[in-house]
Amino acid sequence: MEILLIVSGVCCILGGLGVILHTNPINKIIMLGLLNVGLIGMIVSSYYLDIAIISSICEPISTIILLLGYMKYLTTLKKKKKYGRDLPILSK
Amino acid sequence: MEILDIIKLIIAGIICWINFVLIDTYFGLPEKPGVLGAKTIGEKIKEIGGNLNGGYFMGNIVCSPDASAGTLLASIMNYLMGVKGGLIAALLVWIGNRLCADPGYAGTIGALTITLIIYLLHPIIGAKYFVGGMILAIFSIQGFEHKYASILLGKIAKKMNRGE
Amino acid sequence: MDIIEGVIGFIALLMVFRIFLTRSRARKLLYLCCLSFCISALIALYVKSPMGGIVAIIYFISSTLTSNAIAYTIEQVKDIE
Repeated sequence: MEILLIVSGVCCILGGLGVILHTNPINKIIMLGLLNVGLIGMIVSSYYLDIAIISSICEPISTIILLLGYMKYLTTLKKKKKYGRDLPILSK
Repeated sequence: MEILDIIKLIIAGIICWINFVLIDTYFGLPEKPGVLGAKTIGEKIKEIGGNLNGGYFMGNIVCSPDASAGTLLASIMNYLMGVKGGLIAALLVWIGNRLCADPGYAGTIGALTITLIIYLLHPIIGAKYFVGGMILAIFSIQGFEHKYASILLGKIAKKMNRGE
Repeated sequence: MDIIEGVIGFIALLMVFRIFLTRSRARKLLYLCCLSFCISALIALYVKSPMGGIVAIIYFISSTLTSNAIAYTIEQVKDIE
């Protein structure tokens, strides 16, 4: 019985399902974090320890880049509405 | 034999719970949110009927490695390397605290305290039981029932004059 | 089979299902924190050498950074919405 392998497998399967099923973008990013947890557990369970260190250092960097992209998208969406209201000639 | 293991596990869990809750409360985690993300979690806990100070406590545990992380990592390194592993874990926890923009006194002192406790209790309870006991302790706060856990933490904070 | 690994594995499976089923965003982060405690302890109990301890420490600190970034973004997004 390898408990680490079983837990990591369940993390990967439910994380992948959750990325598809949830609709809010932050929920999707949390589920991607869950999938990363399972991935690192699977790497450790076959004793590739150096690769586990590198991938666990790179995980927060990729998450921060995704979150910055989401915040930039929200601010752009808000600015565009104001811009369209200020220039009514373009909309006519 | 099985029953003896379970009793040792539960005793180690109670020791870990007292250790990290007292140290975190003494260094003022329930008073204010240290980083901005802890404020969100505290308000969410208050929204479902819990206590605000207990919510700040749980948010601070999530957002930066405090005495709870120090207890777990120091007991892991004690199990693997002996006493000098606990000192290495204290150094690495301090670096992690500085990465998350915290002063970092709580994590370091928690790691040193659990190293001392494991060194004193070494002939009776091995360091392996403290790893499992810490998981039981963190499960009783973060995973089981958020409302009653935050009310209990708020009462402890009020008794130690941290928070209202 | 060791009894400590059994207890930790059971708690980890319970946390995974609760993350999947909870609807609130902030409470998912609390469960994720408890799950990363469990995985860190399982790594150290599975690899019985000092290198396993180093992997567990680095994994735990970087998962804390991830939670910190997500909680900060939830606070910022609440103002915009």
